[in-house]
Amino acid sequence: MTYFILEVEDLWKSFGGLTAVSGYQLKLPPDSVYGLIGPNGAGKTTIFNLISGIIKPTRGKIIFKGKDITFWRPDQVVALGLTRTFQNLRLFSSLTVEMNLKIASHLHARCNFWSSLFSFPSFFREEREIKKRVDYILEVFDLVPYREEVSSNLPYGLQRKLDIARALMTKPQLVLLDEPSAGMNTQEAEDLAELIRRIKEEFQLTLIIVEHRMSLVMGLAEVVQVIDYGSVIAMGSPEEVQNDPQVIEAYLGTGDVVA
Amino acid sequence: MRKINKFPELWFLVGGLILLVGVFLADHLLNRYLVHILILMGIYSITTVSLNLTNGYTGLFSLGHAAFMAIGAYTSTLLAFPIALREAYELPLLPSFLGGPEYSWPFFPALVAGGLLASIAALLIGAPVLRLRGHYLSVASLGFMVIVTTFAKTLRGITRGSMGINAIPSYTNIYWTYLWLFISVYVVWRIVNSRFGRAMLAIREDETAAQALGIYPMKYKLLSFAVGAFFAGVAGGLYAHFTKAIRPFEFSFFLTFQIVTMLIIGGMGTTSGPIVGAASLIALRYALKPVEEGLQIYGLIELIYATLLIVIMLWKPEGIMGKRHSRMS
Ligand SMILES: Nc1ncnc2c1ncn2[C@@H]1O[C@H](COP(=O)(O)OP(=O)(O)OP(=O)(O)O)[C@@H](O)[C@H]1O
Ligand SMILES: [Mg+2]
Repeated sequence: MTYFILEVEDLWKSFGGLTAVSGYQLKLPPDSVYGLIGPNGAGKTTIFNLISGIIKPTRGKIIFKGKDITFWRPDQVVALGLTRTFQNLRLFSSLTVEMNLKIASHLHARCNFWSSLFSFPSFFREEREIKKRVDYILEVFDLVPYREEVSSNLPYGLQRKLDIARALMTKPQLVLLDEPSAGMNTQEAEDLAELIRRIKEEFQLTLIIVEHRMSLVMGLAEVVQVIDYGSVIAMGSPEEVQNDPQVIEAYLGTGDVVA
Repeated sequence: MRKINKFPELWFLVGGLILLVGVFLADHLLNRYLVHILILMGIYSITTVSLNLTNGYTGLFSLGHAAFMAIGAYTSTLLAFPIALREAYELPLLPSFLGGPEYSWPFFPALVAGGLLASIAALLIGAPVLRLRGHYLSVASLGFMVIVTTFAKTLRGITRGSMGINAIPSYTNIYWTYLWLFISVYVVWRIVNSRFGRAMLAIREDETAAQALGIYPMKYKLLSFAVGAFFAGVAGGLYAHFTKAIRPFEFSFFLTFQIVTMLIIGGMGTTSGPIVGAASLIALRYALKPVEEGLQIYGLIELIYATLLIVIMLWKPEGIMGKRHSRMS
C-alpha cells in the first residue's frame, strides 16, 4: 500500500446556501508538488482553509500523516507539520521581519513561563537557538538586509517571500501555498519559482500550490488538479490538464489563460 | 542603543538601583505633598503598565480593569483590616481558613492575595469574554466592571455597601508603591521579550495567522488578562491603603476612563508610554487643581483629560511615546 502524507475524502463545505467545496478528493504522496488551479471563486482557498483547520467542513475527512485532523484546531494541525500561507498576506504588519519569524518559532520553543520570567540560562539558550534559525531562514530567503524593517514597509514581492519564510519557521513537512506569486512581476515570479524549488529540496517539503499564474504552476507541479465549483474536474500532469477540453471550457470567459 | 540592547537584564538592575536611590531621596527631601503626588503617580502607573499588557500588547481592548482594581482593593482591605476596628466598622472577622477572628494579614501578603483573586476573576470572566473581538470585547468587559461595582454595593455584610470602608490603615508608602511598579514593569518586560509576549503580539496583529503558525490564542489571551489583572489588583490594594477609604463608585466609569486615557496618551504597546501617560496626567491634575478651585469650575480637569484624549487620537494616535512607522524609501 502506498503511503500518502495527506488524504482528503469527500470534502464538502457550504456557506449558508452557497456550496463552496463539493466532494473534493486528494491523495498526496510525500515529497511531491501538486498544483491546484481553477477560476476565481472555484473554492481553492476554502479547501486550504479546511485542510489547515481554519474552518470546519460540512462533511468529509482529512487525514494527515495517518491522523484524522478533520476537526483539529489550526495550531494543532501546524504542530503536526502542516502549515499554509495566505492569499491576502497576513503578515504581522507592524512588526519587524525578524519578529515575524521569531513569532513563528513558537511551536518549537519549550521554555516555561517562570524560566522566561527570571531569565534562566535555559531561556537564553533557547533564544539563541531561535535566533540561529531566524538567521538561517533570512539567509535562505535573501532577506538579511531587511531584518529590522517593519514588514508592512517591505516591497510587496518581499512580503510574499516573508510569508513563506515565516511558515517554514514552524518546521513543516507539508506547506500549502495560496497564490505565492500574486502581485509579483514576471521576473519576481521566476525568481520565486526558483526559490520554491530550492526550499523544497532544502527543507524536504511536500507542497500544494494554488496559482493563477500558469507558467509558475506548470513549471513546478508534478500533478495539477483543476477545481471548478468546488470539485475536481480534471487531474493529471500539467500537459494533460492543459489540453483537457473540460478545463478549457471552465476557463472560457473567465479572463484567465491556460498557457 | 545597540549596546544597551546587549545586556538589558543588567540595565534593568541598574535602573532598579537608581530608582531605589531616587525614591529614598524623594522620601527624605521632598515635602509630604509632593511625595503624595509621586505615590499616586506610581499607583496609576502600575495600573496602566498592567493594562498595557492586555490592551497594548495583546490588542484586547479591555475596559474592565477598574473591576480588577476593586477586587484587589476590597480583598486586601478586608484581609489586613485591624481586628480592633472590625466591630466598630461592621466588618466581618476572618474565617478560620484565612487566619481566624484573632488575625489580620500583613500588608504584603494581603496585596498579593488581592492580586491573585483579581487574576482568578480574570480567568473566570476571560474564558467567555475573550472569545469576543474588538468592540464586543470592550463592551462586555465594561459590563464586568458594572457587575463588580454592583456587587460591591449590594454585598453590604462584606463591603459595607455604598457607604464604603473607612479607616483603612495607611500602609502604602512610596517604597511599596515603587517596588510594585518596578515588579510590574519587570514582569511585563520579561513577558513581552519571551515567546509568551511574542504570541500576544501575534494575536494583536492577526489572530488567524497566529493560529496558523501554531499559537493557541485563548491560552495567551487568558495569560495576558490574568497577569494584567494581578497587577491591577495589587494597584487597587495600594490605592485602598493610600486613600484610607474605598467606596464602590470609585472603581467605576471615571476610573476606567482615566486609566484608558492615560494609556492612550502615553502610547499603547510601548514600554514607557503607560508610565509617561499616568505621570503626566496626574501632574496635570495637581497643576490644575489651584486653577480649578480659583475659578470655581469644577470638572475642569475631566474636561481637559477628555480634550487631550481627543487631540491625541486625532494627531498622534500612537501616543506620546509611540513611534509612527516610517515608510521605507
Ligand atoms: N467565509 C466565507 N463565507 C461565505 N462565503 C465564502 C467564505 N469563504 C469563501 N466563500 C465563498 O466560497 C466561494 C469559493 O471561494 P474561494 O475563496 O475558496 O475561491 P478561490 O478559488 O480561492 O478563488 P480565488 O481564485 O479568487 O482566490 C466563493 O464564492 C466565495 O465567495
Ligand atoms: Mg483564493
